[in-house]
Amino acid sequence: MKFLKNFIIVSVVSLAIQAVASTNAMSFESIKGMGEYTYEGKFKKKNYSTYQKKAKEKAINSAWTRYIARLPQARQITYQKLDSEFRMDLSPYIGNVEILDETHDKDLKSVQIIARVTIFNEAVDTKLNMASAVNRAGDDASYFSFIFLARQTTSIKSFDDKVVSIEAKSASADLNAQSIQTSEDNEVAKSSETVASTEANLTTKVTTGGSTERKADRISYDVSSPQDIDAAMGDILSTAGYEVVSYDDIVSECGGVEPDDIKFEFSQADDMSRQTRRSAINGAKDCDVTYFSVGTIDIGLKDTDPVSGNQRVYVSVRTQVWDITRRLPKKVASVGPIQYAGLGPDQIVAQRNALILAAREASKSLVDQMNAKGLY
Amino acid sequence: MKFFSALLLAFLLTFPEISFAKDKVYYAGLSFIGNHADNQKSYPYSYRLAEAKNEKGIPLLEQLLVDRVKKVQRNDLDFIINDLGNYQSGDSVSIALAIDWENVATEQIGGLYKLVLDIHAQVLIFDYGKQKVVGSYPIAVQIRDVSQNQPTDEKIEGLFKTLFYGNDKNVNILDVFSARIQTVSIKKSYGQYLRVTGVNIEDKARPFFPNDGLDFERSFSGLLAQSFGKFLSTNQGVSMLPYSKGEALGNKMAMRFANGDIFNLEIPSTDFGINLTLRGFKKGSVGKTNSKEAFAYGSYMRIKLEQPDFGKVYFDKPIRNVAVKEVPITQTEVDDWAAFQESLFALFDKFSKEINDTDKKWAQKTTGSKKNDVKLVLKEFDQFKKILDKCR
Repeated sequence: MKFLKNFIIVSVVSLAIQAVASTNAMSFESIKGMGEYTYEGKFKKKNYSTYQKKAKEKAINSAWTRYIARLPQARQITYQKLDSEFRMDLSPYIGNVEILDETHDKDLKSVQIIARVTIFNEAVDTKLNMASAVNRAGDDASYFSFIFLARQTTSIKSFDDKVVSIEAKSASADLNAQSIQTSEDNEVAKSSETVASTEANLTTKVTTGGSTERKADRISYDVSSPQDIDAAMGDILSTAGYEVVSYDDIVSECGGVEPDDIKFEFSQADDMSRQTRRSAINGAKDCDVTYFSVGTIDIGLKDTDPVSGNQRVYVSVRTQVWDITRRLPKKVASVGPIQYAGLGPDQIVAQRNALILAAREASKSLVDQMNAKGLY
Repeated sequence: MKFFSALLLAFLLTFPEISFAKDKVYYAGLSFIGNHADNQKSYPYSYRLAEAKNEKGIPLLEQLLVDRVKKVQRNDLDFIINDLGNYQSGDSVSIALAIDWENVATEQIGGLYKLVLDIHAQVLIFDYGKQKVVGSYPIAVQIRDVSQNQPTDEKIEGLFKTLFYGNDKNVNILDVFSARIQTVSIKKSYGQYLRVTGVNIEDKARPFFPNDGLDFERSFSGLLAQSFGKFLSTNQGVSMLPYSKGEALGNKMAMRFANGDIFNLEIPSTDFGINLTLRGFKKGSVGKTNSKEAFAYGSYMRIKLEQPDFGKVYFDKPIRNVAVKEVPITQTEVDDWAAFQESLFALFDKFSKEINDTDKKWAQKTTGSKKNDVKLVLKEFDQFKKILDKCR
């Protein structure tokens, strides 16, 4: 009985150890790097480990450079400000360093190492985020509010082309001893008289033209504001250090156009009317919001993914962020339109995955752009 | 004492993998590599056979394969099989028979129809949890048939059945798979990854091809890559990633199992790449008697082993092989293409065997090197061997 009790306690403890171990698992990337160290003087065996160490350090640095080159442009701008700080000690961001190849060329006096370096993405992200202006601002971080809407086409009204045709005709007659040209509307009259031996030549010129007027399709959308999008965006923005406030709360506390009115406008057009935008921005401004963002995710048609056979839904995201602290709002970040695809066993799951992916990626890009500008 | 017992128990529960002598390997099943939408088109006969079900509704081929895998006994591994494979129940390493090429080639020679059927596959080792390919051993079977009549669809399907579950173990892919998993190293990580990354065909080879056109060339390039990979992997016991031309970021491999499961596995980036160049073929008479004539069939390749990210080259040599075939004087039509392929595959076989303990004379002759250069040639073979050691 006692053994059983001990067994249960120990099992619980070991499961806890495993749980902690698994939560510590981080996302990582393996990048290769090559480093070469050229030594001076005669080769000495006792110095080889030093040469090796230096070549390995260079290989790690080369892998790091290749890793940074793969980051999105806005993130690279943020990184550049911290490059020397990162390179001073890369150990918190680097895991396993596996030597793929090591060559010692005694003639060239060089030791060359090719290594595969594991880089912890999340550790790099955390460092970049912590160094951002918004994180440094701490409690003074700005309020950020957003309205993000998912739109699905409900009807498309197409208009036929309006065609206007114009035809102008003119005629000229060339008369000489042998020929006579006559013109009467479009008919060519030819007279031939034996006695006078005269001929008539007629030239008719017709000019056609006109215009075609095309009218854009009138598209109506079903607009919704899914919680999944709010959660995905809020997660990225909050992690980046912004104080995220709900637009519903702004309307309740400080006024501004109702979210339903905004939804209605987006169901008819790709943008808000001037008055609606002004009302929304004024409401947010009255609540001390610094950054205000409006975005749409348009849901496309579904198809079957040829690779997996799953349902696939494409969405197209576009969004902008304005700094609304001054009299005239200033655009500080912009994304899209960019397409993302979501996969799932059915259309609902695929659509949900696409919306979450688009919202996360768009908000990551917004944060990167704002960090690059040092905004907080 | 109690404390130490408890500590030992906690240790064993925390790291269960060391509490058993044998590692677990989950058997995942029979699968087809490639886009789901293209599977039926790419593997018309194999796919049809894989879809056929027994009276219990279980795919027939799958059942036959499970029966074979059950018989595999290893001292170091336990194959976990639950009918169609319970590979989803953990993050242990899993194996699958992944078919990646099916080919039917018909050729008319002197009033006879020559039929060559091929199935190429991988003993694919993957990490289910991480959805990542860990290693792969290429395998292949081929069957040839000659008849007076043009082969019908039924005949071809019948021969494919032989390739899947015929009595001849050498041409039965299920048996080749089970024999291979009996011996190959199956583990969670192979350290470094080797792969055929490119196949080039030079102009001198093209006049000898039985068919013109890009389709044949593309298909033959795939055959060259897979065959070289098969010989190297088998003769050297080395794992090789499945062939793909070049390498894109986020390389993925779609795989569909007979039970309908679809995986999209990540392929690790290549650490060492092999580039094959088919330089050409040559044929010439080397002797004649009253009854027969001997022909030499020369095949010429170039093999390059490099680190693809940094272009560091470890081996880069032209190699050649000459195979002699005797033909009766009365035979008016000769199947040259089959003889060239035999010459080429014999070269792959010999080359991959010679990497270990390279014979000096063979190396000089095969690479067409001068006597003074043999030392350098042997050095490159040694570098090839060292790279293979890293990939085991």
